[in-house]
This record gives sequence, structure tokens and C-alpha cells, in this order.
Amino acid sequence: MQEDLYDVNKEITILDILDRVLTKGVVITGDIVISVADIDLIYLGLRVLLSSVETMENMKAVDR
Amino acid sequence: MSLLLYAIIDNKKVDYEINEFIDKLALDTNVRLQIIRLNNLYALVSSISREKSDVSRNDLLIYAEIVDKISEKYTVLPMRYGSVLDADNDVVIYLKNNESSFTDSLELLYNKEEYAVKLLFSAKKNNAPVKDTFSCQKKSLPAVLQGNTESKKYLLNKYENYTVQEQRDKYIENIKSYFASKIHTIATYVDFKKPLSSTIIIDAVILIEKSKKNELLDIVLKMQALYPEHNIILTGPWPPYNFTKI
Repeated sequence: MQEDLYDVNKEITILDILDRVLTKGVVITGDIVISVADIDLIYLGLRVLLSSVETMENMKAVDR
Repeated sequence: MSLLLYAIIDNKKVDYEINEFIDKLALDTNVRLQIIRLNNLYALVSSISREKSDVSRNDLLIYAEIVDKISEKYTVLPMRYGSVLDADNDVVIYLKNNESSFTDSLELLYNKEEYAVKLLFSAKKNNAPVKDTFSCQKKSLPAVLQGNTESKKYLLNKYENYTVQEQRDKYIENIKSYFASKIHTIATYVDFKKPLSSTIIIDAVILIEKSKKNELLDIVLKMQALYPEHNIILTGPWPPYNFTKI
């Protein structure tokens, strides 16, 4: 159970990391040459984040 | 070969041996950073092939890990992934063109950390707090909305949706105001982001002095105690990705 919860939290944190690295930070205007091939993965991940909240709710309910 | 930029740091604020740090980082991540200097500014870069165009999730995570490790030791301006220049001299020109703003930002960020706070509705209880209130109000509906005809049902449905949304907005605004009143007492900067989904009540990034970490934890724990029906997620400390333009 604890490991599952850890995995969910880890997934949320990874999404936060990717969001920051890809969309925040200092930008060099006009010199971004790398394209991120798996950008869809990020959007998919956002859905994982929202559903994982429900998963966490269920885990809390089971623990009670 | 080109140069991938990770972060910019201010030499005046460096109190940890940088070459020793770079050696250790190379052992941990297999990435050897180089320093390119302009006066007090250091750009931390690594060599990268120009041909590399496909990036995996793992590449991004390694990049993030390196920026994270740099920020543990130094005050940094983290670069967005994909910041690539052709040669050392291009980096120097880039630093020169932005020297004043980079120096000012690093000064403001000194000894501070970024955190993120998200407060979320449970997916099942998305509208629960306001739906209950609406049910109580149903008894006192105006006559024009009462009845069993299709048009009355249509009007009632419209009215219900409008009212629930209005109450939902008010409910969220109250929580947000409470959180803002608490967080502004300890934060240097707070940025409330537009929620990406109706499940999100608060999506905020916060810049605080490192010494105020426990005060932030207290506020988050109090929020969770005050709103046990919602989930609160605190992440950090992060390099100040959201505060590079302060």
C-alpha cells in the first residue's frame, strides 16, 4: 500500500518536473533547436495526475 | 558540437568549490559540465550534438536532476530545456546581453526556494459542497421555475447549472483568499496559476526564504486540517523555474 502511494506521488512529481523543464525557466529566444518528440506523453501524464487523486482517495479510504 | 545550457549562477554567491562540485556531478550523472564566465556570471553548459533532435523523457529527467543538484549548492537561474548555443563565444555574448537582468534576478533569488501547492477536489465530490447548498435552496425557487413541463425542466436545469457554478466560484474564491492571506505573510512571491482542470481549487507556486520552510509546512498542514475533504499536495523545494523573470 505504501509503495503504491509512493508510486502515485512520484508520478505527480515527475509531471511537475517535466512541466517546469519544458515550459518554465530562462529562454533563449529563437535558439531552441531541440524538439521534444514525446510531448503527448506530458498531456497524457496530466490526466494521470487527475485520476491519481482519486486513487489516493481510495487508498485513504481503505486505510481507515 | 553545440552547448546545452543548464543554469546561470553568480560567482559572488558561490561559497562551494565549483570544480569539486562538477567532478562529483559527472560521477553521479555521466554529464560533464563546463563553466563559461562573464565577469561574475557563470553559465553551466555541456556539449551536445546538433543532430540530436529526439528527446526522451529520461533525457528531460536527467537535465532536471542536474539543474536540481546545481540549485542545492548555488543560487541559480534555471534554463528551459532546449537552450542550445553553438559555441563558447555565443554563450558569452548571451550573458553580456543579459548581464544586468541576470545579476538582478540572482540577487532577488538568493537564499530562496520555490514550492508548489495544489489543492484539489476529489473527483467524485467535485461539486459536492455547492450541490448540497443548492438542494437546500430548491424549496424557495421562484414560481417561474416550478412545474413539470419540458420547458420548466429545461429552465430549472439551466438555473441549477448557473447557480452551482456561481456558488462553486464563490467557494473556491473563499478558500483561495484564506490561503493567500496566510501565504503572503511568509512568501517573497506567490503566483496563482489558472487551474488546468475543474478538479483544481488552488494551483500556486511560491518563492520563500529557505529559513521559512517550516512556516510553509505549518500553513499547508493547517489548510489540510481545515479542508479535510480536499487533497493538498505540496512539492519542492524546486529550482526557481517559475521566478526567473522577477
